[in-house]
Order: sequence, then C-alpha cells, then structure tokens
Amino acid sequence: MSTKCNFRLLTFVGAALIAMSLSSCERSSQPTITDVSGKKTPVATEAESPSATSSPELTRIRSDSDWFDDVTESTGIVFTYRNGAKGNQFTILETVGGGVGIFDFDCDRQQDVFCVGGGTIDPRTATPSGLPCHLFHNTGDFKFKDVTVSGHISVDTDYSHGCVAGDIDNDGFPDLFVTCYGHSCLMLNCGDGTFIDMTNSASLTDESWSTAAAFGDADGDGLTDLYVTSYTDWSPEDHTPCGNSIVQTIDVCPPQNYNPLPDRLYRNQGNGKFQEVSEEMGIRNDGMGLGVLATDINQDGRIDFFVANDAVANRLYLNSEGHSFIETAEFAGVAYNEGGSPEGSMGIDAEDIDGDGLCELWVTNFEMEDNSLFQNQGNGLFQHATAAFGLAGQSRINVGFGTGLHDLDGDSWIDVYVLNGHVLYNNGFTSFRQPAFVFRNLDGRKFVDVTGSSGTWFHVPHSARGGAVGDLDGNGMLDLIISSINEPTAVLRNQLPAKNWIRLQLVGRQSSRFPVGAQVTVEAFGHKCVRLAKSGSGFLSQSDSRILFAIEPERAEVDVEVAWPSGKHETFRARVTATDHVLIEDSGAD
Amino acid sequence: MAASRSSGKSRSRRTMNHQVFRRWPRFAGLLALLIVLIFVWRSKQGDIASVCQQAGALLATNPNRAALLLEQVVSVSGTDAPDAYVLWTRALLAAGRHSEALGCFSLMNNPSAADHKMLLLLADEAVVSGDPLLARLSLEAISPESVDRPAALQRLISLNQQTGNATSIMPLAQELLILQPDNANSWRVLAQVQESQKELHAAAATFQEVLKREQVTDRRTSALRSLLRLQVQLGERTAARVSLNELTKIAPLKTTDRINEVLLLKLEGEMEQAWLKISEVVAQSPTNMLALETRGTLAFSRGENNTARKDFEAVLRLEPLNKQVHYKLAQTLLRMDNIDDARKHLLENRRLTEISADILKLETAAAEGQAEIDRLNKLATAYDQIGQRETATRLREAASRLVPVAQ
Repeated sequence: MSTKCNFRLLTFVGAALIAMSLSSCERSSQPTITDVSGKKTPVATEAESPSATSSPELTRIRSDSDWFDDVTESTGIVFTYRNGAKGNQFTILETVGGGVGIFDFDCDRQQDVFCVGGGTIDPRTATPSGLPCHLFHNTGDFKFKDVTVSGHISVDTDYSHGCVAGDIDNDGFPDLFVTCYGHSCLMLNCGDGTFIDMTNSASLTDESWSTAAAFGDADGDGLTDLYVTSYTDWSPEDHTPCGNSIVQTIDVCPPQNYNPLPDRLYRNQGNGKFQEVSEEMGIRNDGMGLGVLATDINQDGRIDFFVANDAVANRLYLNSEGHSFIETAEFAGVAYNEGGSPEGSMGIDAEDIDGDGLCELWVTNFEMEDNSLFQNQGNGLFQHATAAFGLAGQSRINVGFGTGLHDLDGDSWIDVYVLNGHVLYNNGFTSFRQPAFVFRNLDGRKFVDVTGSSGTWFHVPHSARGGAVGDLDGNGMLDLIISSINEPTAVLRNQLPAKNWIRLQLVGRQSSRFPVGAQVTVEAFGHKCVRLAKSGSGFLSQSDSRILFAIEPERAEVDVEVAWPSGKHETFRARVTATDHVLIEDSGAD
Repeated sequence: MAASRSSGKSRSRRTMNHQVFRRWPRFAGLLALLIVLIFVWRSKQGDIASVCQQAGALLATNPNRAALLLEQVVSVSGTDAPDAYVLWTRALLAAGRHSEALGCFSLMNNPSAADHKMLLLLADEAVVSGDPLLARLSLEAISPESVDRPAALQRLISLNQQTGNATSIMPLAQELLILQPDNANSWRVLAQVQESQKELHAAAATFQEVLKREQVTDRRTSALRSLLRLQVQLGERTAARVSLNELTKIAPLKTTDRINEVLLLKLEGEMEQAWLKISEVVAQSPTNMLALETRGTLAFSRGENNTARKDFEAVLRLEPLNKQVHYKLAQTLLRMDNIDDARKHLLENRRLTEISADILKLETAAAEGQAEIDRLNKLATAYDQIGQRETATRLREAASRLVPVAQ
C-alpha cells in the first residue's frame, strides 16, 4: 500500500479509517511529497502507459455479451489528454479536462476522431502551456491513422479543453473550434484534408478561459454562429492552491473562489469574420459555463441555447425571432435542482426520452447532486424527473462530466451514459478516478443500470471527462470514444448485434448547411421517435452529427419528417438499407 | 598477621563509633527537624483537606464563604494544593464570580496535577454557568495519559460543537477513538462529528462500525436510524434498503423512518409506492413539515397541483424561510398559471440561495483576530436571515469570546 495511505492512517484520520474498506487506500494510491513544513502533499500522477487502464482481471471478466468492447489498442488511436498535474500546482485549470470529437473531416463517409490535447502547468509559475491536439483519420475496419501533421492541425494551441465541429462557410466540410485557456482556435477545413487556423482573421480574439462551445444559426440568416462558454477568472499570477480540510493536504480550489467570466455569442458575418453580439442578444455574464447545447428546444423552428453552469444557475436562452434571446431557465424549471438550488453542472444533452415528441434536457452534476433530467411538459415548463425515471441516487457519490443521450442498444429508445471523475486529487473518501455508468431506457418509462454488462472499461474507475458517440464502423450501432485525464483515450466498440436501421445526414439550403435545430421524426416500434440535430451535446465534445434510427426488422421503408430551422416541414420516404441517406432541404414532400 | 589485622579492624570500628557518638547530637537535631517538618506538613495537609472538605460542603449553600476559606488555604499552601485551587475556582463560579474563577484557575502552575475527576466536575459546572473558556481550560488540563481523558474528550467535543469550533472537533474525536477503539460510543461520537461536518460517506462508514460494536438495543436502533438517513442522502439505495429492513426487525418505525422509507422508494424510482406511503404518513402525522413537503413534492410529480400547493403553503406558514419549499411552490404555481405569485416565491428562493452561497463562502474562510470576529458575525447574520437563530446565536457567542484574544 502506498505511502499516502500510511500517512493518512498515522497522521490524520487515525483509527477511524483503519476500519474503512481497503478500497479507500487503493483509491488514494498516490505518491506524496513532503514540503518544508513536513506536511505531506499528494503528487498528482499522470498515467503514462496505455496499459494503465487494463489489468489481468479485466481480461478474465470480458464478455462477448457486453455492450462495449475496449478496442483502443488495435485502433491506432494512441493519445492521452494531459492536464498538467505533474506541475503539482493544483490549479482549477486541471479539473476541467478535455473532450474528443467524432466527425467526418474529409467527407469520405467514415467518422474520424479528433483528440483535444490539454497542456502542461509550469511547476514554478503555474503558467499553462498547450499540448498538441491530434486528428485521426478513419481508414476503415476500426483502424485510424494519425494525420495531425498532414492535416495541418494547429499544434501550437493554448491549453485546450473542448472541440466542436460545424460548417461555418457552408462548403460541406466540417470546420473545427477548439476551446482553450487563452486563445481558442478556429480551424477552417480546406476540403483537401487540411485545415487553416483562421482564429485571428475571424476576429475570435478572446484570450480568457473558454470551455464549451456550440455552433448554430442563432439569427436565422443561414450562417452558423458560435456560442462559447467561459469559466472563471483564475490566472497563474494570482494562483494559490487551497487546503483540503478533509485530508489536510493542498488541493485545487473550488470555482466559488473565483469570479465568473461572461459567455460569448459570436455572429457569423459571412465574410470569414465573427462579431461578438453577446450583450445585444441577451446573453448573461454571470455564469461559470462548462456545457452548452444548441438545438430547438421549444420547437419554434429557431435554435435555443441551454447552458450548464458550475455552482450557479443553469441558463436556458430561448430564441426570440432571431433578434435576441430570452433567458427563462428559472421559470422553465431547469435552472436548479428539485429543491431550487444551483448545482455543479457539467455535461449536457437533449433528446426525447419518453416518446412524447418533446425534448427533455439532461445535465450531469457534482457529487452529492443527482444528475438532472428535466422532463419537458410542453408548455415551456420542465419537471425535475430524475427520480421518476429511476436515476436518483445512481451516480450521486460521483462527479459527473461526459454524457450523452443516444440509442446505444438499437431498441429505438434513448439511453444515457455518464462519465465520472473527481476534481480533487485526494478527496478523503471518494477517489479521483470514479466509475462510469450506462443506463438503458425501458420503453420511455424508466432507466435501468446496465453498467455491469457495458464492458470492461466500465468495470474500473477513470478520471473521465469528455465522451463522443458515433458509428465508427458504419454498422448502425453507436460506438464511444472517451477522453480521460492523464489516461489513454479509450475507443469502445459497440458489439451489440446490429438491427435494422437508417441513418440520415441533413443538408440545409435555406437553413445552414448543417442545420442545427432541425427535428427529425420517424415512426418505429409503435411510437414516434424524435431526434434532434444539435451541437455542443455531451461535455467538451463533438459526437457524430448523423441521425440514426433503429427500425423494426420487417420494415423496408419509413417516412421521415424533417422540421428544418428555416421553418420548412418536409417528409422523405427512405428505404431501410443500412446506409446513410442524405436529406437535402427542399427536396422532400411538403 | 591475622591477629594484628583483627585488632586493626576493631580499632577502626571503635574510631567510627566514637565519631558517630560525637556527631549524634547533630544527627538527632536534623532528625527531629525532619520529623517536625513532616508533622507540620502532615498537619497542614490535614488542615488543607479539612478546610477543603468544609468548603466543599459550603459550595452549594454559601459559595462565597467557601471561596474565602479556600483563598486562605491557597495563600498558605501556595501552588502545592492544586485541588484546593480547583475547588476555589468552583466556589467562585458557584458564587457567580466568573472572571475571578477564570483568574483563579489561571493562577495554577500545573492544573494537570489536580484531581482529574474534580476537573471534570469543574468543566461541567462551567458549561452550566455559561463559561465555556473555563470549561475548556479545565478539560484540556486532563492529560492524555489520564483514565479520565476519554470523558474529557467527549466533553471537549460537545463544547466545541456548541461554540462552533468545528476545526478542532475531528482530532478530538479521533483521539477518543484511539483511546477506546472497541467502545461503540467512541465510534458514535466520531460518526456524529463527521456528519456534522458534512462528511457523509465517512459518517455512514463509521456508523457501520458503531453497529459492529453496539450491543444495547436502543443505541443500535439509534445508530441504524442515523445510518439509514445517511444512506438515503448518499443515494445508496441497496444499502439503505438493507438498513431499513434491519431497522424494521428491531424497532417500530418512527415518522422520520417512514419518511426515509418514502425517500428510499423515490430513490428506487418506485413513485407510486412512495406516494401511497407518504399519504399514510401525512394521515398519521398531519403537522410533520418534512412529511408535508415530501407529499407535496410527490404530488407535484404526479401532476396533483392542488395537493402540492396546499402542502407547500402549509409548510411555509410554519417555516417561512424554507428555501426549497418556496421554489417547489413556485414551480407548482407556474404550472397553475399563477405567474405573479410564482415570481414572488422564485425571488424568495433566489434571495435565500444567495444567502446560502454566502454562508458556504464564509464557512470555508476561517481567519484570525478581528477578521475572524467579523466573519463569525457575518455568518451569524446570514444564519439569522435564513431563520437558523440558534446557529446565529452560537456564532455570535463564539465571536464575542474572541474579543479578548483580538485585543
């Protein structure tokens, strides 16, 4: 057992912890350093080896009936997000972690993978520096090739957190925005397999701390605008770590120790430039944003933004005719938990969970807070329905980050995964690495915990943050890529048997090319399945933007209804051929 | 040779005897002096004991007279009579002469030399007299090696809880546990401290330890209740179900247990069963605020808005600063299209939320000197604003006690 464990037993916690489970010692198996006062301080370790997340036991308990198989080692994706913990400065910057993106950058109909790099923290000055992000090209059969250099992915980004893909010039090739502490980075996809950094020319010159981002046409002009959340005003110049009263060591400070930074909404001016319009569009400046979702939440044909804030109220910006946004979270019932208190919200998503055609909102939260499922009542009001859907208490002892609402088992109902990991390196009782969960939706009524059959990756705790979902092998089942702090990025292949399915790629004409805010409806398995075209869902990550529907085995054709952000409603008849269908606005039946 | 050696020895012995006899008067004098001193000391001790006994008897009826007697004793004995000092302190305390009592105790060079049971008694009396500083000094004088140390530690923990001195409680509870690792009470004290410091995981684990050691049924039941409450708070549905089943076997369920059962059913997603149970609880305890709030919450989730509104309004009549009920009522009113009233309750929730955030910040920002006094007073004001008067009073008392230190 570690030095750390002995230290705790002897010097602080005393006999009380002797009787506690051995697992608490295992969880805190960090080395310690002793400072000049003789006080021991945990050294945040960074897992260096890809094998750090696997063990002989995992091999033994692996099962073919698991939902996901950890295929990381065979994919060619060798990447680890670094948070700079080695600097031993215990900055709040280290807590946020990073995301991962799944998108088809070269339009070859195979989903590629983008890994956000993170950074280092100077051990003397706490100054952060960026580490390179990496782009992996999907070469088929679950193999990927690192094309970072050939793709000219900017390698000199600042300390990075999140990524989001969107088509800012409507050329059909997804562009990329990477959020950073310092200069965030807008990379324009040239369409020839390369990107160019156009951050400065686009006037995206904010130098503060950006976390999450979402693309969407906020003003209805057919151009993709950009919403960026900001966290706190922490800076290395003022950095002082905080004392952890529970285990009497130093650790990172809570966000409440800092001031919030304003979120920013940028209008795409169509000439390669963006203009900040936050204030005139009604965006508040008092959040500590870690998640933002763009989609049409109230089904009025315009995109809205839902923002997950840490420690302060969440915000729901409803689009008012494209001229401004009206913040309604408190009245709508999505600002707080069931008891009216703000939570530490991180991950975010929206989908129709109960099959009533209305989208629910979902956020993952800090420990001792349930993750919040806000059930849409259809009249602008939401009801906190975490308990009613069997999700209360399920992940309460963990700190929730990455998440996503997706039909993971191909039964037409939206399931949910939750990635966890603590922000404190040594929290006394719960660990820095925490287990992730998968919950299966039973007919839109209740979720059941299926983590036990989700695969080996889910059987051990991780310091997980961002997760992205996408069909990486084109078999109609959604795979999962997970970014964890100082652990190898994990590639989890969905090995449930593929069923009958169709997948849709929406192409807007009057709407923006990737029409965030579109709503697609298919009747299948005896109920209406509604899916949303959205941006920013999850945590700091970009999931496969194609829309997948599971269809009954005997069906050969389905009618697909699309409500475009332009206001147009069309119906397309699609053959169920287990391939992608490209639905172009104005080419369906009214 | 042998003879001459023998005669030599004999001569030497004679010489020695001669010297002893020559010095005898001096030895005798010293011996006599020693005997006299012992006698005087003994008689003085006897006098001290006798006067102490006499003063002790007067403590309840005439503490001022007792104090006078004891003052005379300590003026004669100096610092040789720690028990007399403690008794004198007690007498002054009983006479309501608090500052003199504190001063008297402070005069002792080594209070640890006093009888430890007497120190415990003094501490208890000081607590009753509202003199926590004297109580603390008295208890801290009981050394770690003393058999009375566990009793002193328990009193110190209780004292620190009353005075809001949270940071010092945990080490005391841990020391108590080290001294009495097999004693269920030591674990109970630690668990209570952990729970009060919001270390809920640790508290739940420690209550499990209490249950391993506690044999007395009532105390086992109490520990099980605490454990169930914590497990529900932690969302540990399986463990909570086990605890509830065990509790049901050994004791009739109280109203709080039944509400915890409802909350557990809610955790398990069994909303219909939770609704049936809470309806029973409210029928039996119609004025229980937590039961009403819980029923209101479940009624809201079922869409029974009138019931929810009625329950939340009933709670607010008695607890007008109940933040979460303001919010829940607001949500109910919004659903009933009563926007204006809903707005009022949302604003009240927001106001109370901001105060709660201030409290959180203040509680984690311990300072020193005047800054600490200011912090405690601000914290007291904040607690007043959310209706927690007892906590506010305790914090103000703690702040007032810091004034001499700051000066």
